[in-house]
Formats: sequence, structure tokens, C-alpha cells
Amino acid sequence: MAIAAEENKEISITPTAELGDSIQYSDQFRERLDVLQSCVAYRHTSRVPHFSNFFTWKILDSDLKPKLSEALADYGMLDRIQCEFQERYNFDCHYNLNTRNLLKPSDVLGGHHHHIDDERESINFFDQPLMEDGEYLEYVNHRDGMNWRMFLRKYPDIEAGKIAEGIILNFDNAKFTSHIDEKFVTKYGCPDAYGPCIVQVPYERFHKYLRGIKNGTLDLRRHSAECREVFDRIQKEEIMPYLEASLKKDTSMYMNDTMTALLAHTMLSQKQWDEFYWPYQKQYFDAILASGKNVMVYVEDSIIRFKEYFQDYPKGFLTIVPERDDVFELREAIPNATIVGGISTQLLGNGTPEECVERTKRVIDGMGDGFVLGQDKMVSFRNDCRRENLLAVCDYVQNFRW
Amino acid sequence: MREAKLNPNPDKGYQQIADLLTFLPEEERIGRVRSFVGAMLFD
Repeated sequence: MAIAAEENKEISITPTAELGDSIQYSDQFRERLDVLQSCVAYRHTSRVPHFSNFFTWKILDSDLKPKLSEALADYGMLDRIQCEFQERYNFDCHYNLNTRNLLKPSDVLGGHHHHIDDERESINFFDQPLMEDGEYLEYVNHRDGMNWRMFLRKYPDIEAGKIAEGIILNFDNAKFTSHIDEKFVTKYGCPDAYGPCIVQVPYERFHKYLRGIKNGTLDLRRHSAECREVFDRIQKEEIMPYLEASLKKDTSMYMNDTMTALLAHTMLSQKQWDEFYWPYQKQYFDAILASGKNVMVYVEDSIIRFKEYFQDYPKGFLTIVPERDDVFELREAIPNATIVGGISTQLLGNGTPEECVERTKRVIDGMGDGFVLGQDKMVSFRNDCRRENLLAVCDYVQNFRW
Repeated sequence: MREAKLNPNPDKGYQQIADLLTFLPEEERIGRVRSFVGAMLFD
């Protein structure tokens, strides 16, 4: 696997596994795929598909009632919880199949960069820079050496045997990811949200992991020329070759062909967006469009302030999964994009079943074509949703027909 | 930042670990180590 694929995989997204040629697709899978792809293409459909953006909440909702730390350390339990979730709510498509936060390799290395808080039912990730000021060029010129240096900074007390153990556990993670992915295709007839082609602009990795949010944003001001040079190199030498190769893969059995996630834009000024973010993002969009494929754009926080950058793409190309943006405002701002969302966790967690159904009706009627019902963020905390509210939404959308 | 116990020279460090991966074909070991080390920076 190319470095870009490996690294992008780990930046924030667990990729969907590549589906084998031998898979037999059920009628239910094909019906779902047709409805999802029609929505992506902005074609009229007979019904509105329901997209799951549920993450850790699935564990908290489970009748198994595990602690977070117990579930995240047990593949069998994660499997049962994911299946229980599907059997209860019957979603058409899942952004994640309990394959996020598989922390066993990190734990065996002695990593203390995550903290699973069973009492508060949360997982915390610490913003800790691994790369020092002035190491940008070293990163692109001597990647192996820099990776090793940063790895030893991250795990300072590590021994070789523990790393070997971590590699074995990482195989287990990959096996679980493939297993649950195939199970949801074959047993539950749920297409994957996106194919095996995931890209993020170079700045994302520095912002989120290598330099941290604070240092990353400061670097754009203090070392702007160096950052630009390094981002250009990463784009040219690593990400674009990966993207071009990935675009040749058959992605016809996925909701979207490709995926990109926008996270760091939330911290950028307009000028920084124009210089350090959009030129790279645009290159991906243009290459994907030129190949005749489409892209799911997973957005943290709001994207509306950058709306004009997305408005010229044809209908059927962009599928935006927004977080904070209201879907009606987003439809007005970027009318050419298919939108996934509409139901807020504020409502799912604090409203009544009747209020949730009323909102569901309103967004389905108001959004029309090019719309997939979903939630307004990664549903993670217990109070993000109440079971009876979600059941009411599921019951309504599953019985709705235009 | 604390100093590490493993060999700070990347080639030697990667080899130290690769030598333990006897369950893998020899030609795959270094690649697996490099890939894992890179991936864990983003975990």
C-alpha cells in the first residue's frame, strides 16, 4: 500500500475495505445502492435513504451495557453492538461500523494520547506535537527518519518486542475492519459510504497530529514559505499519485466513489484557506471530476463561509455531510450539492419522538431530491440521542414514499 | 521530549523490530515496520 493510503487512512478516517470479487449482492443491497446512488446523482427516488453518522453512541445504546473501555478492547463485542444497532434501527448506510478507536496497538505501545473516560463516557485525544519547529523540510526529505524520530517521541519507553506485538494487533484491527465491512454488505445489505479512495490536504496531518492545532496554525504565519513548499511536495509526490491510482479502481458498489474530510479549515482565515487549503483541495476535486467519479465531503463545523468555492461543480459530484450547518441554509448556499443530514443531536437527545418525526417530515419535504436523511454530527455521547426518538425517526423514514 | 530507548538511527531501529517479525516472510518485514510506524503517528 502506498504511503499516502496508509497515512490518509490513519488521519481521521477508517477506510472501508475493498470488496472482494466473490461477494454475492442481495436484492436489498442493490435496492439500497440504487436509492443512495440516485440521491448522490440528484435523481428523484421513491424513498429517502437513512444514513448513520453514529459512532460511540452505539456502544452506550447497546443492551449489552458495556463500559466504553470494555467494548473498545473486544472485537466480538464491537461486532455484536454494531449488529444490534443495525437490527434495531435498520439504516441504509453507515459512515462507520465500529471501526474507529481500535486502540489496542496504541495501548500495547504504552500510548497515553487517548484517554477513555468510563465515568464520563468519553474518549479524549490530546493535542501533542510530535514534530518540532523547523522540521518541516526534514519531514519531506527524510520521511522514514522523521517518522522514526516522531514515533520514539510518542512512545519514549517502548521496546522492540512491544512494537512487534503492536504490529500483530494492527493485523487484528485490519481483519476486524474487513470482517464487519463484508458482513454489512452480505448479511445486512448495506452499501459502504465511499470507496477505497480517501484524500485530505497536506495541512490536515500537521494540524491534527504532527504539529498540533496550536503549532500548526502558528506555523502558517511564522513559516509560511516552508509550509507551502512542503505541502506542494507532499501533494505532488505522495497524494496525487495515490489519488490517480485509486481513481482507476472499480467503485461502482459504493454510495460515493471517493471521500475527503475537511477539518482544519475551521481554524483558517480566508487568506490561509486561499493559500494553504483550497488549491490542494481543488486539485482533488478536479481530478475526481475528470475521472467521472463523485466525492463525499465530510465537513467538521461549518463550510458555508467558503460556499462559493463549491458552487461551480455539477450536480451529482459533491455529497456534503455537514456538521454544524443547517441543511436548508446549506442547500441555499451550495444548491448543486447532495446533502446528508437534517436531524440534530440536540433534537434527538432532548426532543420528543413527535418532535423528531415533525422535523423529519419537514426536512424531507423541504429538501426534495439530492437529500439523504442523517444526523448533524458524529453521534458520540449518551445525551446526543434517545432510543425512542431514533426509533420514531427510523419508523417514519422507512415507511415514507414520495 | 524524552529520549527513546530504541536505536535512534531509523535503519537500525526498523531492523531491530523487523528481526522479531519471524512470522512474516523476510522481504515483507521492514515494509511492515515502516508502515506501522507511519500509521501510529496518526492514531
